[in-house]
Amino acid sequence: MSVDYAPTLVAILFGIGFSCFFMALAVFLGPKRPDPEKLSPFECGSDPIGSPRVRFSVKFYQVAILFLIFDIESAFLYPWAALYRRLSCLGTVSGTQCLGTVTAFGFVEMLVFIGTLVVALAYVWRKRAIGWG
Amino acid sequence: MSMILPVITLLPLLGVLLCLVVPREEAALHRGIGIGVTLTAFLVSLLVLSGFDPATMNHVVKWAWAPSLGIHFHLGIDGISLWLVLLTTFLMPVVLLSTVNAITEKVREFIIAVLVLETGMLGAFLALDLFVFYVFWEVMLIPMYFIIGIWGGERRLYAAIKFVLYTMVGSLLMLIALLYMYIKAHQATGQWSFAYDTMRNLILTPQEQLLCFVAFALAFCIKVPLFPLHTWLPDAHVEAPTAGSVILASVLLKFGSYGLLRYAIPFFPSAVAECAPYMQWLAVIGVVYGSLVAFAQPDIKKLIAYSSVAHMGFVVLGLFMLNPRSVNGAMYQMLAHGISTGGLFLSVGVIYERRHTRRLDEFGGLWQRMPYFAATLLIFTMASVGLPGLSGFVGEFLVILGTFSATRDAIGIPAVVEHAKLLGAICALGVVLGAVYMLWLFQRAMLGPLTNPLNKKLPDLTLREGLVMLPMLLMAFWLGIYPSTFLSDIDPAVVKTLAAFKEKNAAGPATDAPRMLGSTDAKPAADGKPALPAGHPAPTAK
Amino acid sequence: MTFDVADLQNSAPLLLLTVAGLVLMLLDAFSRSKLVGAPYQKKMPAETSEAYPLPVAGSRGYLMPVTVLLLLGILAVVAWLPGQIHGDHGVFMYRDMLVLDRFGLLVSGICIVGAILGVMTAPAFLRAHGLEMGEYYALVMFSLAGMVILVMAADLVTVFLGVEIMSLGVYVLAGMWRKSQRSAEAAMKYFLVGAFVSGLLLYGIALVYGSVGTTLLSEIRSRAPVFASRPLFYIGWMLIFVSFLFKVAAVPFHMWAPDTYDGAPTPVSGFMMTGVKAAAFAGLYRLFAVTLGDSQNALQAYTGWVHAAYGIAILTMTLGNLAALHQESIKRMLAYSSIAHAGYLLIGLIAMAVVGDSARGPLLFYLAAYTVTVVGAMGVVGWLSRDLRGGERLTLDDWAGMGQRHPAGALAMTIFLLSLGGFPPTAGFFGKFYLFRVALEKPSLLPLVLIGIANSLISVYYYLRVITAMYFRAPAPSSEPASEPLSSTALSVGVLIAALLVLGLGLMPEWLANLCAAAN
Repeated sequence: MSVDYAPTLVAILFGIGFSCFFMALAVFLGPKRPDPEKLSPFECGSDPIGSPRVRFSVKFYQVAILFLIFDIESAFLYPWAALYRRLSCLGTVSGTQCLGTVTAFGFVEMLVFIGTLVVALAYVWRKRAIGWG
Repeated sequence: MSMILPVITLLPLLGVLLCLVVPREEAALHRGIGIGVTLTAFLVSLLVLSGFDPATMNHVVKWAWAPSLGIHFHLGIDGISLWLVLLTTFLMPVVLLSTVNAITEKVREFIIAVLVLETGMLGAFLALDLFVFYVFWEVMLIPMYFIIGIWGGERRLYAAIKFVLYTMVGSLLMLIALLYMYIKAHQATGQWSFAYDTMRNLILTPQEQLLCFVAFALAFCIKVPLFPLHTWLPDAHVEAPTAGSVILASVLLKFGSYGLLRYAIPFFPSAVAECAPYMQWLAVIGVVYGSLVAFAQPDIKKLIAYSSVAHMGFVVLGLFMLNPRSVNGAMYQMLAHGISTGGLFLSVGVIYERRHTRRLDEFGGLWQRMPYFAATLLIFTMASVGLPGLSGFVGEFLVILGTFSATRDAIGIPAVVEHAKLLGAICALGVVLGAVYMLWLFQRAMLGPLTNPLNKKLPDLTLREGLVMLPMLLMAFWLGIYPSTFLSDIDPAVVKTLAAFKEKNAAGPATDAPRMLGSTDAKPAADGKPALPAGHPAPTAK
Repeated sequence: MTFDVADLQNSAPLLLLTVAGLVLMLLDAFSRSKLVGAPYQKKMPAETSEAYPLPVAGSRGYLMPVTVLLLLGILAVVAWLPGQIHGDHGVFMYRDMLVLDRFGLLVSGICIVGAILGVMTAPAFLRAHGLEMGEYYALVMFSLAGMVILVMAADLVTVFLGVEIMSLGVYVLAGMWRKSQRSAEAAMKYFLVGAFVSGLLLYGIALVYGSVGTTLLSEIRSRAPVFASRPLFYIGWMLIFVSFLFKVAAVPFHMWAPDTYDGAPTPVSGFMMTGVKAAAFAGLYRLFAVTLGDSQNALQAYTGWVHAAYGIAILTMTLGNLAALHQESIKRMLAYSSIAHAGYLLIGLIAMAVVGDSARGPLLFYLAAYTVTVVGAMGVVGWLSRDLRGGERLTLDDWAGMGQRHPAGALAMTIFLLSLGGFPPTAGFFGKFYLFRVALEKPSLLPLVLIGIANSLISVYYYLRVITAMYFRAPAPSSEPASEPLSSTALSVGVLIAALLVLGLGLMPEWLANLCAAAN
């Protein structure tokens, strides 16, 4: 039983060992010649202007999160589409043909899902979370 | 089916509802409702006396409450509870009448608290189902907590919390013992029941009996209060308003001794056989200790509180001598103490209302200004001391007589009578000590020259106060002059209780499994475990 | 792919709660006025500002009655569904992912009743503190949906789903008091611990799945005898156990609870202390008492979780009560007392494993009694402690003399506190009585019961402290204005119903006790 996991353990140990080894190598072998130029922070090659800790408008995050949510949820449509025939068929599926009764199960399921998304979108829209003003 | 018992138990709750309807400003109306309801309850409770058979339960009602758990609203009254119930219903209107001047703030709340308290007390005296008993026992606690805490003296917060916590310690242990017996009774009979008869017939093993007895006895001895569990009492008495002190001394303390006689002693004979000597000695120590400490008190209420410790010591001694005479004496002493100490507290209330102090050295020579009051106090003092012809005498006499004469082993437990003579002698000494401190109290407060200028203009008893005192005085005389009114009801019940105790004791404790009294087989069923708790099949997969 | 239409009917409470939540969300979004209470105002007053403007009454006042009506309807469905269960076993739904049985329905009912009372007491509080947001109602609905999933779960995956859906709503609710730093702290702590716990739970589920090869609880139960000794199985269950102990705030996994219960808006705290706890206990019941318990072998339940629970119950009761002893803030005292009550509930759970099915009734009754009591108590706390400057007045000193200033509220609080302390004739007393009774059936549980009793005694002291303050003490002379109790019909009615339920369940426990005992 536990022997089955032995390769995993070996892989983990190798992983840890190798990374530690190379980091140690860099520390010991790498030349260290610091000068002020090297130690100064920079932004894309030019000197920094102002503090890096600027507060962004919370709206950026808001839009980003809303985008992510709706994006990921629409990504859910792909597996659904790929399985659509099987979801709608009560028997076995051969090729593109359903050998049993065809049902609306897959269709209705996605309708419910999209419906929920629409409610969420309506809510977000009414709460002015999408607009910028 | 006679409805008297539920009516008197629940009548005060009706009064509570009435009070809730009446606007809070109508203080006089609230008092009227309170006195009216309690007076009605008293009159109705007198109906119990007609055709009363002291040796059995009268006017029994048994209504299903939670039948699946074996809980029934089961009330009944016999010779043991009869006079305690009447004492309670008798005292309540008197107490409410006495508060007209003392309680002027939050009158509605006060009346409600007293009425709830009355329901709790009556229910606990009448209960024949241990669950019902426990519920009413706890119901008593909260109103008393409020009475001490809201209308009490300066250290009322401390006294109120102490009162509740002390009582709770005992009652929670009692709850555990109760549940344990309930489960054991189920094992023995196959039925869930909290019925008093079931519990009384249940026989446990010696060890179980001892543990359960300790739990029950702790609850009751804290209430009595038995030395050394008495320390809450002086605080509660001193801080409580007069009405609270009267109810506390006259009725609430009786629950301790009533519980011992009704529950703890009949339930666990083998444990009683083991513990009775200790209880006797603690009771006697309480008598002497209470008397001595009372002697040293500068505060009148505290003095009376410690005298309660001493008097209740007589009661406990009488109970644990386990012979009819001494137990009759204990029962009688409970009533007498209720009247005389109640009267003493009412008297203290009278002078407290006038002077707002209870310090003994503030008084002296009051007889000159308040002759009627002084006479009243003298009678209650003498009743408390045990002057023949007054209430205290009969009880103390019977207890001492029962103790002295208990040289024969009548109950089948030799240890009970082992030190009878010595105990009786110390107890008699306690009576003398009692006379000393009570007479000292009376002398310092009432006799001598009237030195304190503040006392020079004190008015005597008013008509209302006279009305409060009169019934108490009458009862003090009645109890002293014609005891057979009471003993004729108490004696048969006590004899029966002791006979049942003797029978159960003779049947011996259970060996391993619990059994019921009267079942011939120590192991009631073939497999030795007649009825495992129901519902044991393996849980189904969900 | 097959789909059973009957599943829709059997999972009606869940579906209806979700739909109701969506409807409430839309109602809120499409309600006309844009300015509802302070949070929607462009410039919010600083917390230190002397003159705190009273928030405008919003146009969303109708959401509360709508929510209550919807919940009552769902409660009716929950009450109707037991008639649809035939036989002793539940009806499995959605390919055995959920199960419809009387137990699940009863706990759902408890959660819904608690939520109804909570929702009734909430709007006045929220308006007074400038938190009137329609989302509150939708989030309560979604959380309830999560609870229903959890109590109906028949599979480790649905257990996880339920826990997550339930918690997500509560995370937001805990932090909805945006002006209050303590609310933010509450939400942050709850969220971080919650996220950590989700990880533990998922990890545990993965390990159990890895060892047994299924996530179906009934399958795991039948295979448990074989796998019980394997370390992976054991570790997996212990992780699941710990994650649930976090959710019910059992010591030593309670450290988030006082701050969270104390900091969250009061009605939300009530919801967390009752609904979340009830659902989590239902989860513990399904996962441990049923799946791993074996009533035939006392204390021999698989993975030995009973031993762990035994110690944790003692710790939880004792430390919860000891910590509550010296709290000056009533809300924080109730938070610790809620921890202590989790300990009493654990006794019920242990009794399920040790004594058997007869412990189910007491466990459920205690949950029900605890739920109505705490929702009521938190309702009163929100009611009486309102401060005109937008804060809360929660210390015992603030509540001194409350019996005179606000007799009705103080009386209700007294009833709830007495119920929590276990005085008859309240629901709390009968709950404790019923619980201790069943635990005493096995001698091995006697120490637990004795410790429980000792703890009841400790708890009486601090509950009475509040009553003492309300009735026996005069209000402290202070330059600050006293609290200004809210005036709201819904709030008073909600508290009144809770108080009547507490007394009613104490005086007439039979019907609920029977219902609980029969909820297999």
